[in-house]
Amino acid sequence: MQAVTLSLADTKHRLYESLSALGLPGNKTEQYKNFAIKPILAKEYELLSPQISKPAHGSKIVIENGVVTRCPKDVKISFIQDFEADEQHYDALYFMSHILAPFVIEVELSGDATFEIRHKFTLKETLLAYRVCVKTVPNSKVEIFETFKTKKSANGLLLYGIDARVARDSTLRFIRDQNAKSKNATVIGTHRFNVEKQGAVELKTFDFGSGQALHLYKIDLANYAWADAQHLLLATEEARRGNVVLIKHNEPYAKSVQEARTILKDKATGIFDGKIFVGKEAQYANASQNSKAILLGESAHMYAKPQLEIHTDELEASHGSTIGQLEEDALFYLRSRGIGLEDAKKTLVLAFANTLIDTLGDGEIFDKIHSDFDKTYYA
Amino acid sequence: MMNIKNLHAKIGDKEILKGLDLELQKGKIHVIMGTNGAGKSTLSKAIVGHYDVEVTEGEITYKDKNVVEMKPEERALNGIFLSFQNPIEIAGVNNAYFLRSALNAKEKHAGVKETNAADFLKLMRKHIEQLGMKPDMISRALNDGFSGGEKKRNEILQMEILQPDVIILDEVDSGLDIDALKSVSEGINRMKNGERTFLVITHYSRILDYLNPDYVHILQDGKIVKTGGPELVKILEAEGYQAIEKDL
Amino acid sequence: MAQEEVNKILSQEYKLGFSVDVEADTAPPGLNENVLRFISAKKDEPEWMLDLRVKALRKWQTMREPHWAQLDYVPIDYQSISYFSAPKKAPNSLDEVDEKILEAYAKLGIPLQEQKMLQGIAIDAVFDSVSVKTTYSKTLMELGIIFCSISEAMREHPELVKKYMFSVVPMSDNYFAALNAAVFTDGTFVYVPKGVRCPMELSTYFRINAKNTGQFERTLIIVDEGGYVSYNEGCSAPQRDEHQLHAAVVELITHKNAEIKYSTIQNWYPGDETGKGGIYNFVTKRGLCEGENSKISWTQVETGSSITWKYPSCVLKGDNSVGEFYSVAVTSKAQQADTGTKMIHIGKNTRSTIVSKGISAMRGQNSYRGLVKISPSASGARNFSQCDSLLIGPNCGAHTFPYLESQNSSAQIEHEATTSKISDEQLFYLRQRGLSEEDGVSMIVHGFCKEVFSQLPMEFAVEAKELLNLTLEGSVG
Repeated sequence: MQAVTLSLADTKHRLYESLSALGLPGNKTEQYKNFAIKPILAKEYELLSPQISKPAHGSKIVIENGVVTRCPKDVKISFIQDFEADEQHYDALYFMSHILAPFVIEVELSGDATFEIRHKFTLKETLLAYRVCVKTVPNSKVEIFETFKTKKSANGLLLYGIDARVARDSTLRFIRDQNAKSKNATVIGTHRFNVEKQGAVELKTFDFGSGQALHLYKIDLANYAWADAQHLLLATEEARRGNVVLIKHNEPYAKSVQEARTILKDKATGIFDGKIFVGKEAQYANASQNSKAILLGESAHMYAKPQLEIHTDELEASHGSTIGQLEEDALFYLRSRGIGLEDAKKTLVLAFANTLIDTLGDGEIFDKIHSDFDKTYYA
Repeated sequence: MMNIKNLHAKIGDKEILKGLDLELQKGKIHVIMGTNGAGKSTLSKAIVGHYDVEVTEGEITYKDKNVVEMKPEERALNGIFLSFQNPIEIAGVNNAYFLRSALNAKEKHAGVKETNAADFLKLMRKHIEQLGMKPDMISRALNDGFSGGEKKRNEILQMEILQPDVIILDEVDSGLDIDALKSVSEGINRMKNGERTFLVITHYSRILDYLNPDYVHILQDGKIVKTGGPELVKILEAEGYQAIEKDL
Repeated sequence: MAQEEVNKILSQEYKLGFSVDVEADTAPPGLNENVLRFISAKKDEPEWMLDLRVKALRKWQTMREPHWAQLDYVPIDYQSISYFSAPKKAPNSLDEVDEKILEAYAKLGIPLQEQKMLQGIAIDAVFDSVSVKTTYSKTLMELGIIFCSISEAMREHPELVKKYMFSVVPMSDNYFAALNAAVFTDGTFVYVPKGVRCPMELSTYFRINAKNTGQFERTLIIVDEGGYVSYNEGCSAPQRDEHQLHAAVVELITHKNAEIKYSTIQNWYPGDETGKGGIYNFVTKRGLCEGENSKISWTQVETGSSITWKYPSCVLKGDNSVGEFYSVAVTSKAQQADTGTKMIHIGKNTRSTIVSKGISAMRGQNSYRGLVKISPSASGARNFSQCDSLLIGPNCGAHTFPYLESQNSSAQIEHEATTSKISDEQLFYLRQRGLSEEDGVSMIVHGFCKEVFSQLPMEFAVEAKELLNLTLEGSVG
């Protein structure tokens, strides 16, 4: 990266300290293992900073490439320069994107809301850095739907992220549909969800296609809070795709469920690094984590690290992870009913993926993700 | 033999037993019936000192002592036995080894010579056969992978080997087929010797066809509201618990 | 469960904490080429061994000590450790072994007298850094089995040592392996020839005695085609205030159709409630399934040492080879363990099984760290791992960090882990049957470990169960 000169406000100084303490990620940095981060950080980029502009009215909040283009009347948008990022975050690039983003787009909601976050990758050698902060209010339901459109020639780096404060008794549903065709564009999303008492966050990520993308999450759970994270990854060609998730139980009675399903074709590399951390004061935690991967390509590579770090004895925690092929018995059953081998395999892979896609319920989003999956799978 | 006086007990913040009085007599079979949530299981848990139940008032006197002040194992060593409604599974713990350890603990407490492994196996085999259980019950892990019927028979097996004096049977008949019910009832009847007392908690009268209850108590709203003989069961069967409610 | 009662159960006094006053030949503290010469000379080693040591020392000096995030310990001052301590009198037969040493072993329950052996176990006892007479070596020699100290093997069977030592754990492998390669003093050497099934359990018993000495033994076991051996390693150490370092290396090699069963029952001094004293156990253990259909299985019961850092591993090179890892690790007081295994699948249709049971109590921290790696060539590989943790008390920690990597589409990896405390319901059930809380906890914990204990050779299973009881039961025995 070329040297970037920025005049740093006080809060940015603290961010810089956190970044220095962690150091820029390299090949030995745990969360970037198998992601080949070094060449990405070594490239030359032109820093692109989104401009502040007044959004038009609309029923949904729409953010495109870091610019708020539409917004309902009852939503307050501010552009914060001294945003207080999570100093406890584990990832250096979280701090880096906060430093590089000229401001944080703070969205303060007053009730239920729907968001669309769109990314359109068309440029070359640019680094787009921006950050969004979402604050929900108690007893509300918020849904964020994120999409990515890339041009094959694009080869920049998107270094962005979302900080969300999920207020008590509110639900935040976050759906990401990342279907990438560009091999050279890279996305590194560093996020933090702070879930307050009895709040809930539902994270559904659908990563399809090639290219390089890694999303790193830190989810903090308060008393009776709930996190349900589901990840479906269908990677092709020479993709390096994955999710790194840290779910922290900080207070008692929180619940976390994490399920990751990965299908790897060709020479793709899949990454699932999930950690459930239960602190000493987080008694009666209920945590479960499951990761399943199927390798379809001869040179596909799956890297799974389901981890448990437990500091209290009053809890229920378990995790499981499988990497392998389709079940022999299931294949045989289909074949014994007259379905050919290749079709049987396809059926099973689809069933494997559909368990997660089906949780979207009916609707536009379900249709879109279903179709994106099919397109990638049958390509 | 065991005298329960003014027993108040709660689970969590909720008071379930609200001044329950019950006298269990030597050599008799007492049956407790009542609607769900009336407090039947709570009563059995209170007698054996289960951690879920907190006794707030009253006493349970047995052998001149107030049992409420004793640890669970002390109550057991003194002869109190509960056949659990849902016996828990403990993987990796051999069934025979566990039962012999329990028997030895009782023998030690009584100052009697401890049964050795070889003699114990003979004893266990005899009882297993009598109860119609499969011989592999000896080598399997405690309740691990046992069917409902196997678990209940295993409870009765333990009862027959430990020879307790106050025997509480919490829904021992639930989930049993005819053969299992017969075996279990025979086991209970074998234990009747005029010295022991039985507290049978049940929903269904089926098992009462095989035992000969002396007293039937109805537990309602945390108290014993009616006590009668076996004929009370017939009334309940015919008219349900409302018949009793009307009476009060 | 009343916490004070459970704590009483767990902090029973370390039974094996006593030391023996024996005239020792101790090298001055420090690590440099002169110390290496001192060691080599004392052991009458061939020149080529000294050269290797020097090479290793130079390598070590360029390396950096690794630091795992989960472990927290006082840094080791390598220059203040004495790297050699041998009892002055070198024995030729058991009759000549220093009385006091024999007594020490008797106290530990280790019979050295051939005639008095009831169990038929061949024992090589290592007292501080020297192998004190290996029993039964003549009997084994008749079958072609070599069971002797590494020092003796260097002299009597140099071609075997040269061929195999460092072939599985090269000196450059890691920091502690390099250190060990430079200063290792002794250890066990076993060679089983083609088609021979070793008829008895082979066992070695270690003991760290002198103050400020580290124990750096090196074990090398080779089983040729179709052979079999079952080997057991057990340890204990006296109570000391300063930390003592134990950096051993174990190399196992199995050729075609051969099998090695390696069991460890480790009971180093764990340090006191505050974490003072105790052994640092940093060990590199690796098995190479070189030949087709070969099998290496590691079984360990770890209850001692202040800090444990070891990952017995299997490199499954031969097609159809099998690697197994069964472990019970108990951390109590202020112990910390970061242990696990690495299963590297290279050959076709290789299989690995991992069963890890961790028990944490008081302020113990127990981490399982495992790697299952399937290389592109390992078609049809299968792995199954089950890692369970039992927490006793609110101040301990149990962590599971599995690294699962697959680069072959026909391979299958399955990993499951659960973390819980001793179920109140289960404990109550046992108490209602008259068992005391202490006995109930013990029974449940034994049940929890059963799958691992059943892998131990019978003679050692008994010792392991007693050791577990000792670590978990209330009163001093």
